[in-house]
Amino acid sequence: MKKRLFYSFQTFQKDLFWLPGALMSLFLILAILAPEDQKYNTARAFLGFLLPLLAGGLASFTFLRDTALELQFTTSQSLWTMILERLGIVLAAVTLTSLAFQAVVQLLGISLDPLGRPLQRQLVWLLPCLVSSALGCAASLAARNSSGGAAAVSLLWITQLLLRGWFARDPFARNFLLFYGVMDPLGDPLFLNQAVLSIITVCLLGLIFLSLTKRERYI
Amino acid sequence: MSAFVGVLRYEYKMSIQRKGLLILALLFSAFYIYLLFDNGSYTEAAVLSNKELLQEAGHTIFFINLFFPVFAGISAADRLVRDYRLGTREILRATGVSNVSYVTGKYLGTVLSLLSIEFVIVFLITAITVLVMGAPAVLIAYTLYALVTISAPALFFITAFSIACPKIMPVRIYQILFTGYWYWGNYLSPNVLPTLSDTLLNASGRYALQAFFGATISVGDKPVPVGDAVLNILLLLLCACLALTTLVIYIRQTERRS
Repeated sequence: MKKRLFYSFQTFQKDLFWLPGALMSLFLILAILAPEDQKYNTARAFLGFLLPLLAGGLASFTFLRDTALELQFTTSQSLWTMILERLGIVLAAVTLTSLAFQAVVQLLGISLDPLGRPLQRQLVWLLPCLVSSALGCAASLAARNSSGGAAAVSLLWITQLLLRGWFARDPFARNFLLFYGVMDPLGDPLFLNQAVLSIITVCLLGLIFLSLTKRERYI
Repeated sequence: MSAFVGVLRYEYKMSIQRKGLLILALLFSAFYIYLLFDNGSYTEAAVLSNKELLQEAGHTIFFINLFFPVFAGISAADRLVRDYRLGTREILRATGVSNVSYVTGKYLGTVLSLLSIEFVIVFLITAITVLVMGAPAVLIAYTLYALVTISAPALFFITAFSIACPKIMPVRIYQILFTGYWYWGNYLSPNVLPTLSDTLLNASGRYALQAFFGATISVGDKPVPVGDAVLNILLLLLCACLALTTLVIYIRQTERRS
């Protein structure tokens, strides 16, 4: 198991680790330089808006850029293990970045209390990251092209970001809004929104599994 | 010349046949078309004056421009690096195709394929509006005019950078940063962060929409002079030329070294 994780880790390009760190540093600098009434908004923009794009974009390249994918298919490891390992590494990098960011902003005196209690606060970024990373991976496998996954994540992100007002006002569409948690962290519709996002994640993971059962598509 | 046309044709055919990306573009287009008509656009198309039709055409293309350039930038990002990854660049070099013909052929082939896809989307919207909602046929001309002035400069601008930048950074880094740029550089309010959105480098088509179509985006928008809109388009095209020129020079230098 350790060797497989080590292999999966080695197949990832190192931008998986320096890109989240670089963007985190940028937003920390922006938060320090922002006026007092904008510091919280800068912090929540990183957690609630940027992290899902990052997770989805990185996850789109987890499978199809592995030049030894065919060899991986010949091993006895189960598909679920393969999926969880590869997506897990992306999510681990994003989680570390998020936790480090939250720790530093607290030290800078920027309160994240409007996002809820500490555990509640983690769902605000974690669930959208889970959805976007599963979407990126599923779309790239469906299109047999990593750019397909990146395009799906980017189009969803930009659509929901630019039309977030419309999504938030529509009682049906708001349940699919990735950013609802960061826009209305203590609102009543949040529970349903997070439940729907969780179901979507599970469905997308199922799609990833089904795609990988047709291994000949990726040879 | 024949080498340039050959590269252009080949690139156009390759770009237009990417089924996965096409399906994605059409799915998102369907959502935007639904929003457009749900919002009440064109409900009284049959009685709108020519000026109002022109504004509606401008608004439609501006609305499509919210997402289509993101699709364009992402799909164009791997066009050049793909040749290097698969080794076809070496084969092309052996045929004697010049770097200028190669880069411009690739660039124009990609841009034309993206414009073709957008043309299909816009044609669908116009067909529904003219045939179902009874809008005058002049709307077709207005929509094409809007496509050329609002959307095309953005596509020329974005495709140049999407072909050039992945030569110096990993494709996925570029795709993530490009998506963030599209929001930051075109729609983010300058009151929140320093941004390009209130400069002549705004590629969303805002200047053309306000100057050529007499439309506004939000209440309180000041009118934009036609000169500013023309300057905006020229600046975007100039930046595209600079990006491509830099790319040709960079390819020449790296191939000389290898």
